[in-house]
Amino acid sequence: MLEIKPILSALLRHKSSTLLIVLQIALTLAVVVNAVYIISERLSLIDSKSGLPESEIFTLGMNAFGENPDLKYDIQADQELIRNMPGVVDAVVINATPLGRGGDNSSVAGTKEDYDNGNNVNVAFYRGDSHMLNSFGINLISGRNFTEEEIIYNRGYVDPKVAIITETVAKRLYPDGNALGSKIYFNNYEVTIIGIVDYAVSPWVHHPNHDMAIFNPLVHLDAFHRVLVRTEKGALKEVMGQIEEKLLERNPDRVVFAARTMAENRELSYQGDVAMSKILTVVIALLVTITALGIVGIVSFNISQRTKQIGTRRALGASKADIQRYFVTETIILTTLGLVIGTILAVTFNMHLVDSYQLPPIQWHYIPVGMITMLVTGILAVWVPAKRASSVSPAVATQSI
Amino acid sequence: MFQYYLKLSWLSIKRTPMLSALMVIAIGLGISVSITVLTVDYLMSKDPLPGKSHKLFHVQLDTYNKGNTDSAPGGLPYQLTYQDLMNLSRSEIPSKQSRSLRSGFSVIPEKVGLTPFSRSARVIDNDFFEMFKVPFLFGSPWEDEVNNKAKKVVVIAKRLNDKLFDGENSVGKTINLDKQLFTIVGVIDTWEPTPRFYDVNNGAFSDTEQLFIPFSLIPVLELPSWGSNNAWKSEVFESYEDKLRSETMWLQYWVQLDTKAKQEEYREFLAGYVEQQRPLGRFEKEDAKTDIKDVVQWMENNRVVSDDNSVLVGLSFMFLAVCMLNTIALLLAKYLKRAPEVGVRRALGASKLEIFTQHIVDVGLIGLAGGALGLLLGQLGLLGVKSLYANYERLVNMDLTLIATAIGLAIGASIIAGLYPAWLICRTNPSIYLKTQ
Repeated sequence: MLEIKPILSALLRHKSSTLLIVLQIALTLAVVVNAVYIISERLSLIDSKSGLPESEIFTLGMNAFGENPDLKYDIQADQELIRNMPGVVDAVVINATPLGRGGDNSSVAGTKEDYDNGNNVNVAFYRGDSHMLNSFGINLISGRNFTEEEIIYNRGYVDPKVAIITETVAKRLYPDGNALGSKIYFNNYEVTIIGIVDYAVSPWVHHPNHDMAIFNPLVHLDAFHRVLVRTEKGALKEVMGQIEEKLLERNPDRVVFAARTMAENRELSYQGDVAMSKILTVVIALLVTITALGIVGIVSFNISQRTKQIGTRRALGASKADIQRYFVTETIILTTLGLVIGTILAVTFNMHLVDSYQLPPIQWHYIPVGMITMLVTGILAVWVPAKRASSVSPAVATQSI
Repeated sequence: MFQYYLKLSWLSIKRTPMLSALMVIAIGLGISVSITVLTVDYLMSKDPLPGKSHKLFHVQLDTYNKGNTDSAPGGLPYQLTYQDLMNLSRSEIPSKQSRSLRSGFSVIPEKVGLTPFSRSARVIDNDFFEMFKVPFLFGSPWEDEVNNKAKKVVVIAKRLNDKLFDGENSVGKTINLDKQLFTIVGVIDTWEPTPRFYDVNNGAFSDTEQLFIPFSLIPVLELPSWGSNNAWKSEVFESYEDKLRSETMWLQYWVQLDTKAKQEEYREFLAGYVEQQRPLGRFEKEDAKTDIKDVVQWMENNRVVSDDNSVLVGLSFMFLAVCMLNTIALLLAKYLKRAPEVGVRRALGASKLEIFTQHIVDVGLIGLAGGALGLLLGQLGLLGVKSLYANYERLVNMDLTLIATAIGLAIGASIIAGLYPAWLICRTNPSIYLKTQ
């Protein structure tokens, strides 16, 4: 490492090109670290669990158009038909489906005072009959399911008396663990919590309380409704393929549409995040390539400028490895300098993102990982030009230009 | 002289193909990434109705009770209640107005071989078509009287007309929607604004409706909402009437206010309306706000341009900056290599300004090449973006403004990048190089 001193003085003699490379590396690090961080945030979001056995579930929409249809009869007959289809575990006519991107939500609180003071939590509501939990494939951890007598069939909307909530809601409203049997307040009415389920998610993946849900025993008698079907393992495609025909066979006065697997619902829900991750990946790849090419360009130029000097050093006894090491060390010094400035830039940039777009602050380990990546890229980029420099013949020194 | 400079540039590019190619690639990549991101951003946020958008206003009222505030930006709910909409629409201040709802029907085709299918519908007043400059292919909007007296008439979109009537003039024919016969009074030409600026809170990138029916049909047909319903009050709905009387916010309202004076007058009218409703026990908040926002403000309020986009715009400019730093470094290298030649030219009488200009032309030429490459790669980038988002097909296309922006950005950025190297080279002292030669 004896070369450090001559390298530094050489670099100082070419202040502007040194500064440019350093700045370039610094900016690259700042962008790459933040982009990688955003990508990893999105990827963990995309993989977040729904609590449902997704590979066994699909959803569809139905719109009835018969004149004065008996919707209560229709809904019950449809549910019975689907539940009795071979390969179906359970099915439910429901107002909204997890990751379905449409539905109802409302603010609730554990006490009336909390509600009136605006100290409430916005939660998604699922409304259907007692088959909701089994169709979702989720389990009660305490309390009981709805009874048939509790199910309200209504054309409009009436207040239900009871509710089943997810454990997340229970913990938020009753941190002391006494949720079961307590009340949930919603403006001017209250419901009694009769059961707590392990997990369920809302229809909206970007909802701040996506991991919370409340179930009510209420069946809306609307012309439009959604259906969620859970099949046996491996039977999903087959059931999905038959269901429209079966439903229209029973009553042709409707349109069955938007039959989607949970995988498709998941893809649609996270479309923006997937797109963002992919765009950022491309940007990172291009950026690192550009920076690497920049290093190649500058080092090549330096070498062409110093051909005579290299030849002289070789003539004076420097080995090929010495020459190669000289240029690699030079790049390492430049890169390290860039990375130090880049770290400051990366943190500044991240603080701006946190302030303006409510992104969570970066975790520290992204910075050293980014630094090492950039350092390796720098060394790889300098390798070929440095190798070429080492092959300059000592005879060059003796030639005059 | 300019031509001579161009010739010199071309010669120098030929002499340093590697450095020149690297520069063109660096600029090209920088431009392609920026222009791809900018295209999406620009098309999302651009004024959809230039010259008119500032006269069209979306109306908002804060009907919430004390202690409750809407989660929408500014705390004002996006939509209105049916009762407020009916009351407000009696005002004579707006020159045009349209109430609006997204609903939908099952279309039951007569044509052999077609099975019933669902289509979303826009439920509006007849002014809607003129306010938003909807182009008609056949027929016209329904008459004014239908706005108050329900009649089963419909305007359909070209796509639906093609499907049901093979593109023929279907005005006067009927269409079966939910087993009700509607008379077709008009067919509109392709009109698929993206983003769907007239209804951004129900998905700005959802499909445009293919059925347009009179708002006055809402209580008659008891139309469901295919958009969002927001409620702060727990109300029992035994019938559709209950929903119409309720505090549920599920409708939208656009008014055209042509002058500043009219806009002021309308603001006062809204404030007066709130006071007038208070004795009825509504508008509990002492500072219950009202507002009107024009098309562009409404799009901004609804964050049609997502945060992701803004982050990407910032990132893409940092990317461009890296590419430009890269270019400056390469230019320095290239020009230093050429210093002896410049020394000779200076000695033969070329002025500093001439040397400077020549190098700026040189950089401009490389910028132009980089810009062209950037546009080409940008098209690829847009194809990529299109494939990532399901609803962007209609959105992502470059227009002339964007192409000009890309080329301008490329040349502008390269010239800025070239300033320092060109300045450095024109200061070359001729004597040094003359000596070594």
